[in-house]
Amino acid sequence: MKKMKSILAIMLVSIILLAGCGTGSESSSGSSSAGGNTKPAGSSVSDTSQKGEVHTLKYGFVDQGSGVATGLVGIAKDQGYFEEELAKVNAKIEIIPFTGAGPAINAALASKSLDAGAIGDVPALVAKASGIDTVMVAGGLADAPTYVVAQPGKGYKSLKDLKGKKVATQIGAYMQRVLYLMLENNGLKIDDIQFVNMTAKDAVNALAAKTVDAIVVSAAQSQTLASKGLGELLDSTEGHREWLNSTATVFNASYTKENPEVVKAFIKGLLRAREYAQKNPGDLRALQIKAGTPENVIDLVYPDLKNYSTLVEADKDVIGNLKSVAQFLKDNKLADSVVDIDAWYNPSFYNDALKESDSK
Amino acid sequence: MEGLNEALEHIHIKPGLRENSGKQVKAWGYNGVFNLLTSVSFPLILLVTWQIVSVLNIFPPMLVPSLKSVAENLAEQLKTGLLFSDLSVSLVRVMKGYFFGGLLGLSFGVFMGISAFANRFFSGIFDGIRQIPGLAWLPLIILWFGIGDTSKVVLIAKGTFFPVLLNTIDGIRNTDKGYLEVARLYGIKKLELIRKVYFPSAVPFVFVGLRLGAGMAWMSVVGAEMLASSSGLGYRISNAQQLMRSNELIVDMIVVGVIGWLVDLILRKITKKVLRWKK
Repeated sequence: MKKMKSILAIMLVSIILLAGCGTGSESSSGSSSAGGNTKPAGSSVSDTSQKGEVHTLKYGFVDQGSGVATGLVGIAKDQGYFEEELAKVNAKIEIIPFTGAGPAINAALASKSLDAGAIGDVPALVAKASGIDTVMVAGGLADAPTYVVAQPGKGYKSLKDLKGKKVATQIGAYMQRVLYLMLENNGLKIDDIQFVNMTAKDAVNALAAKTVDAIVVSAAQSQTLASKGLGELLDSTEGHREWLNSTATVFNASYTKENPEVVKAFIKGLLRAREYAQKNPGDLRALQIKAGTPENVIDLVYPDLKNYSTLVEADKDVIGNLKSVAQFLKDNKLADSVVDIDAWYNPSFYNDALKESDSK
Repeated sequence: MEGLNEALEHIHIKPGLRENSGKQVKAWGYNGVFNLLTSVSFPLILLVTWQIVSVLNIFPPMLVPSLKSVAENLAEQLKTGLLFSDLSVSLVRVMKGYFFGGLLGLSFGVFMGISAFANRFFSGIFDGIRQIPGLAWLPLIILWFGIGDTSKVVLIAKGTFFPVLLNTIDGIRNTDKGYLEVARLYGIKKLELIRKVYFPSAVPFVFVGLRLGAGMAWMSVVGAEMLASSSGLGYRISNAQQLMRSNELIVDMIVVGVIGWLVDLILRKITKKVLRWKK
């Protein structure tokens, strides 16, 4: 009994003492790349190569429902470029689809279940601002508009008609920012609509089932709905360059420090895929078809595939876009701080990969 | 009384208690304080461990936010009224779904408990539906009922229905056969039989079902709001998760847990009061 009382007394005192601690020890998120003492869950290449084991790079991408990777990643995978480049550094890649989009990939990066991923600007910066220690190594700018698709037959002419209506899109994804900007352009705020949080896939189904009034989704999904008569294109980012979204290929920062050769090999794979795609654009189209996008929609969104982005590096347009997204997130209280894009983006992997690669 | 003293002989218990055997020890006596401290010691251990982990930065703040940031977020949510508005939205949905689910469960339970035919008629389908988790039903429920309150109320009602149904059936079937025979001998009509014999017998079981149903109702509303909603605690949790706000996520989860516990406590108190006659 006396022992128990002593133990309880010690615990109470500990809480009181420790409650005063920790006020200065919280790491700041956002502008610095510090994220606390991150411990890598997986083994590094240097460890495994000594043991002769092949290291697996776990890479996630946003899946529209088919599980098929499209674009340069799809090309690199199908043509074996990732396999070849990574084999040179005793590594291989596991490409994992995520239907939960950017937020789901963020959660996987945070828990170190993923080493890298391709995500939209909003989730990438939300993650960085919240303290997930990532590094951007490659990027791209949207090559097709984002649309607001409304229920057909309701007589909606513009976003102003959506006041008080149910509009669905995913919180923490790039579409959320697009929605905010479009509403602002029409003199509305987010509180003027009934915002429903749904993944793009669920939003498409909800519009088809007429359970929401409008959704905000990608060009391919929008055109597919319109072509089937399940939606009307109400507004888009077309003609508004400042509304465009970008994508970021991010790695866990600790991973890039421990496995820089793997990161370079990954980018070399993308560079080879870019060279191949520029000579064989039909393969990009074939991947979109394989992923379930109807052919007529592909032709609508990417006429002659001229506008299909094969960007690998984060050029000044991408950097400029990311900076405006970072400020937007802070202004709209979606992030606690503004991410320092110049500190977050590490171009050295791309530059070194380009120098060492035969592909340009 | 003698039996109690004999039982106490075998337990290491303070002499004071033995002398007072048969009388209830006051809650705030020595043993009351000890019991209270014992029951809060595990939560205290968890809090201390949490604080140590965050002070030492063993995990990034994103994964294990500090107690301070959680407390600050709770204060902010209380100040802005966001917590109360989300909570009230979820509670209203739960009350509606719980009412409908409970009423249906009770009605079908009495019917299936008394009538073997009804039991054979309904049990196949009900057993099948029961095996399908509520969240697996959600996409279909949303298609049928939309993403408004109706789909959530339907899901909550479904979650409440089965515990109430099964426990009511059990309670009806556990009615003492002797009472039923006497009632029949006296020629009591069916409705009166249900009211005066079956129901009083089933009440303890029904309340167990209602308590379990309340837990299921609360879990269902949070799950439903996470998938397709624009308000409520589940929506707020999903919001926090997608914006990587783990401190907000933890605040909302604690609120869900506390409210669930409070609801269960209230039901326990009501059960005790209602079943006092049983003692």
